[in-house]
Amino acid sequence: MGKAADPTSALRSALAAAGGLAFIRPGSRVVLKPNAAWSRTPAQAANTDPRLLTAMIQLCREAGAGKITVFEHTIDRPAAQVLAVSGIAAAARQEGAELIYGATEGDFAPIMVPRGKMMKQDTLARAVLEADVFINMPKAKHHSQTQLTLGLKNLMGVNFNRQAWHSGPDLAQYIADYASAVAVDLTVMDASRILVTNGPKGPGTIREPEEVIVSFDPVAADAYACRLFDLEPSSVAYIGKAVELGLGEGNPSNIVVKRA
Amino acid sequence: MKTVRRTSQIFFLLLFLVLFFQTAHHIDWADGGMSVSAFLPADFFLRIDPLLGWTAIVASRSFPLAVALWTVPVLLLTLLFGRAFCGWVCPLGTLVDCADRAVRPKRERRTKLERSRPRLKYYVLGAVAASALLGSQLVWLLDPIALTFRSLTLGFFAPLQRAIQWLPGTGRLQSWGIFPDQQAAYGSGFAAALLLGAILAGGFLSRRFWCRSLCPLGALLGLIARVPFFRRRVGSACNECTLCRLECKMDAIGEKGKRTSTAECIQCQSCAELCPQEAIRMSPGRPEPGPKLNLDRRRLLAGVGVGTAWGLGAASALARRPTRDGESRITGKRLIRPPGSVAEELFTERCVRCGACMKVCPTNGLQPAIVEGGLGAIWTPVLTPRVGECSQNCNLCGEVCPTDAIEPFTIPEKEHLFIGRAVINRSSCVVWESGKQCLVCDEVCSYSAIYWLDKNGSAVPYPADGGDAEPLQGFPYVDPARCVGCGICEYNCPAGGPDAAIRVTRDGDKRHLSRAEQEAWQAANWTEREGKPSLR
Repeated sequence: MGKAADPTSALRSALAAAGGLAFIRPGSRVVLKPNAAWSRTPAQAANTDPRLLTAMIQLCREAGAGKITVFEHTIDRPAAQVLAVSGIAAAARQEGAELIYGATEGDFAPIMVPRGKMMKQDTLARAVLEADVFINMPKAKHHSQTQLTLGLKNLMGVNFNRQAWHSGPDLAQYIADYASAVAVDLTVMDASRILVTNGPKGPGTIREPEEVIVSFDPVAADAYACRLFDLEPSSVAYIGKAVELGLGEGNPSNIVVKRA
Repeated sequence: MKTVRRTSQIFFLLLFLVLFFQTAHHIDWADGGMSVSAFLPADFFLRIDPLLGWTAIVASRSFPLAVALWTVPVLLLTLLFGRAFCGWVCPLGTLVDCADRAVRPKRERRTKLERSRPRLKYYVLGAVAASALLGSQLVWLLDPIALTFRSLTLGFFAPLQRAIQWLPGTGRLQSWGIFPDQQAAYGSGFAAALLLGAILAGGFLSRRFWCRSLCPLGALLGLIARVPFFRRRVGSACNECTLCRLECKMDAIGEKGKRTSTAECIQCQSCAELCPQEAIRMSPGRPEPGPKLNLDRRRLLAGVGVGTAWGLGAASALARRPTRDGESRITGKRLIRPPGSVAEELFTERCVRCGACMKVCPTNGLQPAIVEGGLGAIWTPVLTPRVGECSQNCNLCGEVCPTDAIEPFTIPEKEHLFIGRAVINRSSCVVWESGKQCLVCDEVCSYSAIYWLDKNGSAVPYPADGGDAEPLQGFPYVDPARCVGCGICEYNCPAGGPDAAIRVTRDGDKRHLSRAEQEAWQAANWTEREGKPSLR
């Protein structure tokens, strides 16, 4: 975890403490998944901060990554405009990363969810399937249904049919099940400025913990981030379900936090 | 001269097509601002069309000066050069020329067997004028520019997108901004395409059958072009060989080849080039009397009668009735107009059904009305949220509307442009009906209009205050002062199959109020709610 007013330096120090990006082998294809679902500006804190994306692309490139792709399946439309409003498009284009907005079903491929309790199969973005490294870049923010949108919840954006999850019997179980089938190599969570009310879209009240959370364990990142909202991980149902599936550590007292 | 004329025709047809495809959203990558892509006003051709402009003015009994001014160039052109617009500019005229070449073999082109009804178009114009006088539009059906734009939008655009996406290597065409993110689809597309197809098939009857016989714009320009400054003049060298008469695709030349019906002549100059005696010139000078217009009074009356019947019928069958408090009582529950639209009674009078707003809508949510708005609202735009919502940061329909049926508006204004209101169907909403945890409508709402109470309308304790307690079940409600009817909830609602559990109806429609009044209404009805942003 890195703390600094500038998310870029927070990210660099957090990454250094976590051991860096040594796991990226030269030439590997990297997919970054920010949260940019909403047609909201960076100031409104409903999407991943574009500065963080810029820094992450640069760091991946320094680590020797080959093709870098930024993928998001926006909820507001038109997708290209949402990515432009959120600053994500500008960041990706400036850094020369490929930008894919998965607006059509053709951008996704079916996957099996063998460990899922409720979900047995779903879809995953082709870009993520074909990648060597998948880095999840969620925004920590309030969410009216699941309490918080964190890393595991952000994976809803690499699946095509979100509506089916909502109309299913248990959204939290779906989120956990899906996470069991999608290998996340690194979670880089934007908690620099967090939306604490009227999430996930806002506008709402913004708190500024000025943190960037980097974790190889996707569940631990989420469990740790609850603290920023004065919540226990147990009140975010999908964290508990993910722990039940053995996807990671959900107990804050067992999580080793390196502050930088 | 023929080459010059053809170049002009092709130039304007291409310009029309370019502007048609540029009636699309262009995104500024730096800040996400959206604008219409076109380098000219995207509705350029629709605006210069005097028939569209003036029927909208007459029917709506309002005088938007810009609408009138745009029509001046074509009117001037016609005073000087007669129906040169038809021969040199009109994109449908050019399409008709192309189709004629396809359906009429060359040897058949010059024959006396061509059938045309030159006076029929005046009766059509009579019907259009009568309906406009009665305050109901009919011009949209047959005005060449509106018709072509609409047919291309509804009938051809979506199939073209489908075809192009099948071609290899064009998979990511949406990034060009020409096609929407998702496959476009429009209701009644086949009917719209059929209308254009039928017009182009008029070549089987005669060359330029449409322009000779049916086009109401041609009739209007023909009336203005009775005595144009430049006109066909036949010199004394003429030996009455009548070759020109056979060549003329408008049948505008008298039997001996000397007289010219300036109301028909489209100044194509073919006769001047053909004449073996070089006796024909297109030149300025004093007006000469042409053949009399000799309309059949009974038929004109019949045309006017059709227009009157339409006007009265449409007025009585319209889906709105002003009530005593001035509110439009719209009988079509699902008749949701785009934001910026004028009040319903004015809207159907101004709207010329060109389809530009439907073409530009980035979510495909604007669809042609078929029965929703009654007889007087066929092919007007209706927001159909299950197809696509009214995207919050978009104001393009107001930018492309040629007759200000949708007046230009800004994105901040959309927060108080009330076009409808979402209503939750408690028997199909998965929260109300089966107590599931679903808040999609809340999370997608751009205006924070969904709030949560218990079943009886009392407050639910907000769970974010910490602790392990399971939050109590809340149920979604719609805040009428915040909900403007954009329909993003309906688009995203996971329940209900084709009918969402939250649907926008016209009940919140406040288009009869001015924008300032709508803003004041919003402020007066505002309720502060926890977690929801307060009124600016």
